[in-house]
Amino acid sequence: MGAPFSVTSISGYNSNPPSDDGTQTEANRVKWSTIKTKLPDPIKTAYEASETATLAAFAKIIGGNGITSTAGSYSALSTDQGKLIYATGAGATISTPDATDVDDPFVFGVRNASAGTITIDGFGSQTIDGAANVTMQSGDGTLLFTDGTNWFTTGLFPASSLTLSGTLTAATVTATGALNGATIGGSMVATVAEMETAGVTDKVVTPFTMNRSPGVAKAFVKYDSSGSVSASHNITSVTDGGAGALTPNWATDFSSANYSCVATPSANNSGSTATSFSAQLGTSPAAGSALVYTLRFSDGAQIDVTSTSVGAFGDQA
Amino acid sequence: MIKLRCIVSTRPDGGVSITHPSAEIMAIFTLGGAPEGYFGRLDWDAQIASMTGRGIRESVAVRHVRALISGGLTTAEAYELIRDRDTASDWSGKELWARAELPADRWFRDAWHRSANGGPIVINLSRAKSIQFREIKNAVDSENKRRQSDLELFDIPVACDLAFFRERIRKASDERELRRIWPKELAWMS
Repeated sequence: MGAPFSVTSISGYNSNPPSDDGTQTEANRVKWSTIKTKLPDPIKTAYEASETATLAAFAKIIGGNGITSTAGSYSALSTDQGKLIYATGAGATISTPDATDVDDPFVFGVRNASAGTITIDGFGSQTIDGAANVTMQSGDGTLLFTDGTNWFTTGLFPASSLTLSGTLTAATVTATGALNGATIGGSMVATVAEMETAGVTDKVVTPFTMNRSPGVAKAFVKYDSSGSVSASHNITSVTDGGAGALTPNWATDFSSANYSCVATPSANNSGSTATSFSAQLGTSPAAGSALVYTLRFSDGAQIDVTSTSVGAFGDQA
Repeated sequence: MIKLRCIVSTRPDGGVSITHPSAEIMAIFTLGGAPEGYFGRLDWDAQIASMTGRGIRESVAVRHVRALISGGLTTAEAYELIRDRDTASDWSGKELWARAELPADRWFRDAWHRSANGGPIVINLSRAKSIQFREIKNAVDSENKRRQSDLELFDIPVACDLAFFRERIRKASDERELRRIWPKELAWMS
């Protein structure tokens, strides 16, 4: 097809008029009939030809040639330059015209308006972006250009991977493979309220809000018989109030005294006999701490153990 | 790594409470505060209200929250804040001790006693005697219970005259003498 616009040349124009020697001869008289053939007629002809060429050119650029909707496969023609092929049938194949026939420049668009994928196939052995064909995802669109030999797309959403350096904003993103990125934000991230109600199934959890899930321990601590802390989270201190009576102090308070606290004592630290121990809360835990007793089974005495591990679950203020 | 110290306090009954700060909180307080989201997205005003609601001074609660968020305290200020928040207001003689200064033997832990004005930890002999008698009795009972399922010893209980030990315990003049009172038939409980 070549360039969409053809340059118009002026025909009939006398570029070598006879010389005006100043003599009053018939040949030198100014007459309409002679001027008309020398100037206005060629201009009129050239202008009309330019208008026609301009209209033809506009018809060849993107958007100037209308839309061809197809529910099935379609083979684009040389007359489809500038046209959008609107494919509505999943699984259809849109074939390009012969690049050597349409020549460079030539461009047309394809939009996959179907619910599934479609294929764009290069004419004969002609390639598209170096491949025999490309797959378009549902909702995707592309322009196809040719260099007179093969075809090239622009704006096509890659089927295998998409790399963005900016922000992706979309109503729905469906990925069958991995979705990788440095960060994620917006309403995709579960809020504190959503973490606490735990009823949301389609949000991501970040470290920032993870602690607010009802199922996550808000604090934990492991301490020895004296209250010395060897591991902790959200603990300011452990107070040793006596043998087997220690109180972990939470760094951040629970919203009330109604939370769950579990404690596990480890080995006997007070004698050579194999004695069993249990742990129990001294009273209902306070919002900011929980008194944990370790008791000897045999007589119920509060007694030191090698170490105790405590975890606390519930809503925090 | 800093060597953590502890806060020794005297309760109104003369008993001793020892508060051990966590390495975690000392790092948070003395460095740049907790990382974003470390405690979840908490309502800090509610945290302050909760602390003041359980008797902590508002100025302490505010300092605590600021320290959790931003850190920036000196080590001394961090201990001071933990003292003000995690020890009861009716405790007295609050002092910062090295852990090595605490009594290594916790056998008589519940008999530890201390002046309301602070100072060293001493053992209340009266309470210690009760502890010693309780431990002897428990050791005898446990051993006899164990022997009940022992093929050779099930009908041979430990020969231990508790009344005799009670009298020896009553007469003990100090905790070292008290600690040596133990039935020979039983393994020594260290």
